Amino acid sequence: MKKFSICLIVVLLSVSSVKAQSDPANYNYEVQFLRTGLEGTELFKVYAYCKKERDCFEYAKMDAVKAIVFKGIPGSGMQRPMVTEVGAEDKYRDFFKEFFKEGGKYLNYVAISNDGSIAEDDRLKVGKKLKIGVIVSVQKANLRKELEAAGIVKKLDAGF
Amino acid sequence: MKKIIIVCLSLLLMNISYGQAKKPTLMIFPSDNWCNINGFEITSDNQGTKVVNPDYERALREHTDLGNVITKINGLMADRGFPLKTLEESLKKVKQDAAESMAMTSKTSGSGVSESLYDKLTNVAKADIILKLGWKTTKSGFNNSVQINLEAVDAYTGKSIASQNPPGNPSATADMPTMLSEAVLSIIDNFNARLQTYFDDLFANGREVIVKVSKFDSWDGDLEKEYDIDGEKKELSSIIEDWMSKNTVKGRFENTDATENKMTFEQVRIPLYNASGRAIDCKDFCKPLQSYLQGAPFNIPGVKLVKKGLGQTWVILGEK
Repeated sequence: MKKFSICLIVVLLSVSSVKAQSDPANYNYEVQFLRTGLEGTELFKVYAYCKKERDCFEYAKMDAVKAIVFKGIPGSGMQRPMVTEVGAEDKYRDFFKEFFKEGGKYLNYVAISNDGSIAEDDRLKVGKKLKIGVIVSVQKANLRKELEAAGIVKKLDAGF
Repeated sequence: MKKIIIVCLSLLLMNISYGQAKKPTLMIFPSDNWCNINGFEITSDNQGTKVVNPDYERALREHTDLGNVITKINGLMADRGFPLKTLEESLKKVKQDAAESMAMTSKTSGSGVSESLYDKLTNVAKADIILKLGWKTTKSGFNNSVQINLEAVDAYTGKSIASQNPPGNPSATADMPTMLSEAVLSIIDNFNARLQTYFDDLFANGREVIVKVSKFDSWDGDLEKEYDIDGEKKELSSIIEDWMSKNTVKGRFENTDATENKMTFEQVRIPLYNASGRAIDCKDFCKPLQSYLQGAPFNIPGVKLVKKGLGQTWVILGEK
């Protein structure tokens, strides 16, 4: 019974950690623009916080998409966020919950670059957590089209 | 019954099509600075004064990268619902119109055409927004980099509405077309974000234009002449100002110059379309003012409207 309880607590904690990460309002990440890549893509280095290294890779992908959608990235081709409507995270909560869930649609627009290799300088220990810098590429053009189709991002020719 | 349904459907379709504002037309030009740096200019003599104008035709013909960059921007803008009017096509149209234009000139005073090629092109293309494109390459050690410059100008007011010129990524291996392509891709989203802000402002506050009111010498009245409006004596200038206040979006305009002979209204925000839903320009906006001033109690013998470019109209009182 004791073992079962411990297992349950561990499962609940890991689920809540993924949930917290997929919350659009979670901004616990750092994104650095690297360069404009191929047609409609941008390369970023995302510093994600995690307990296990492999989780950092998943968080980095999610964080890169969230940064483009909600924050904008200084110095990049996406200085302004795609979603400019105030309170959009709450207004479209159901959409984003589904979009950023584990294995969600956001994965269609982001990929780990550089074969997932991490430079030694980009692997840090912060308190009890790991901070890892992962290079990811985001297909911003396709991501925008998806959000436009969902009615979350206004088309440039909307109203004309 | 069938007829009623058809009429209803037609009205609905009309409402949908009129309810939308006219999509602005965008046209791209190499900037004057780029033409100057790359030697694509024509010098002509206008009654003793040297006039230097960009040579767009030769630039397009001889500079392969220019055509490639324009095509790239055109493709990206078309993806966002705004295909550009091409400079090449407009140049051809201007050439076609040239013969007619010359014939017209000889019929009147015989004086030379004062319009520059830029004016002719914007007139032919009827572009609402002009994109001015340029770039410069810099070399630092083994690395080359391209700094692209793209600026959108409101053709109505000449005001800059969006611009981007970030420093390009240095590269030792990439060739010029690749670097230019990357430079375009790196600016286009930020550029479009600024265009979006301009469109949002357009929908919220209307299009910005300039209206100038003046009088013919032959007319014995002036802008200080008083008229009785609803039992109150008012000068014509105040009456025109009231009209502007009522007919501009949110009453937004600025009277920058007012004398007995002329008035200048700047930053006049006009609606994108009139009461019947048709897209309007500055001259269309002034037509109701023309009718108003020609009617009682003013009965001004004639009010002439002169279109000056896309965003400026002169209202001249006293004759037609």
